[in-house]
Amino acid sequence: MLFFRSSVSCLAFLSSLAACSPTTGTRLLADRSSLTRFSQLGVAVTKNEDFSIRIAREQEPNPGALIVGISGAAGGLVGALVGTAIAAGIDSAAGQNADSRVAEPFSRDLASYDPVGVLSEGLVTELATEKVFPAVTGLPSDSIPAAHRAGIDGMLTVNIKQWGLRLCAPSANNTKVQAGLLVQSRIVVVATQDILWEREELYMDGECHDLQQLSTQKRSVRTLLSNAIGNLAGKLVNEIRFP
Amino acid sequence: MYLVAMAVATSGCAFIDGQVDLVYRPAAEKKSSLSTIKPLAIRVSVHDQRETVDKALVGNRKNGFGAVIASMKTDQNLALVLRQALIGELENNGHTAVQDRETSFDAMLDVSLKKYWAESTVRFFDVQVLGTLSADIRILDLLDQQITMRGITGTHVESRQLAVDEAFQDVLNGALAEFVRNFARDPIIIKALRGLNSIGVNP
Repeated sequence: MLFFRSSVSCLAFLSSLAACSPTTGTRLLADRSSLTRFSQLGVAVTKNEDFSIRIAREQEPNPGALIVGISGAAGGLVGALVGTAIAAGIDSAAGQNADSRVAEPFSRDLASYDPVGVLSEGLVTELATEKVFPAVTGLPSDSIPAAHRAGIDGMLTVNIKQWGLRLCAPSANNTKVQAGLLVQSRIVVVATQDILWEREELYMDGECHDLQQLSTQKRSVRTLLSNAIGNLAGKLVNEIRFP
Repeated sequence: MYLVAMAVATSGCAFIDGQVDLVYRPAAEKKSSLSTIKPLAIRVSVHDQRETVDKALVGNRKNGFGAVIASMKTDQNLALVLRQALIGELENNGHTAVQDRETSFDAMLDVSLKKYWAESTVRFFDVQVLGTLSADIRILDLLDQQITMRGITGTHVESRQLAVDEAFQDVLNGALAEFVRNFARDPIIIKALRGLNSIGVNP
């Protein structure tokens, strides 16, 4: 009996280890008719972060983290777990610092660049052109009560979690980058605040460019980002038309 | 004793190379923006241009210190897997895929597979497994003139407590599905194919 109970416990534990949760893709599915039923759709775009470059964070871990990790592992099983966690933390922080240094000159030039405005305008234009909804309005915030007061019945909220330049194909010596945005999109029923559809995606756009060359032509980074955001708007509208 | 057995069971497999099975299954009732274009006869050609020397290699399982402890491999021809996925999506949306030897078609998709890769990263509370598929797609007309070229990337991320072989297989198949989804909803690709349609070269 004891063996049976222990076996069941072991199986349950192993099952919990194998459990997964997808963090990208269409998380909440809906059919086209339920998404496009609104008479007036409000579009609200927000962002979490400023411009960033992600190169070091997507390359190999740094040696300092490895040493700390191995030192921790020398302390036995608990040491190995703690060491691994600390190594992962150090690696992430070191990568972030290195990326911030590379991004600094670009960030200064992009201080006045507004990806929220560009995406919002792109979405409103694309939705109106494709005639997905009878009326589409750009909103200054994702406040549902404000949308309700404005007579809007459905809301598309897009949160730009990250935006900037990302490694094209992560490897040790490659520094070619392309525009990349991590976005979370939702369609919400204003009256009930129910989320009808939700999708999170890492959107990579355009050709790969040498970072050194981009640093001497900073205006081209704006063009690169604006093109990417414009294409993302078209892609998101196609996602809504064909969920 | 059970703890020891469990440790052996969970850690032992981590060092053995894994085998994955890659497949794309289009849902018949799910249409994409490709369905808004008048039916075209399209030739699909895929070239495997990944930088990996071992073409069977599709991923690495890493430990918490970033060291590779096992590889993920497949017996399949990835160019063929991607070609079948793209053909499946085109046919699901009313288009016809023509054979390589056919000389009569409306458009040709010339696809260069650049990356198809999965990797695990040990984080504080979980293991993140990321799958990526990147390819350049050139659209050519019957006269071999390039209409457009787009780099398309599909990524799929899962958060797991343990990165077993199944996790790598799932994120690789997820990345393939996202790639096809992005291709079929990309505004520039749709516009290019629609433009071909308006020329009236459809047989």
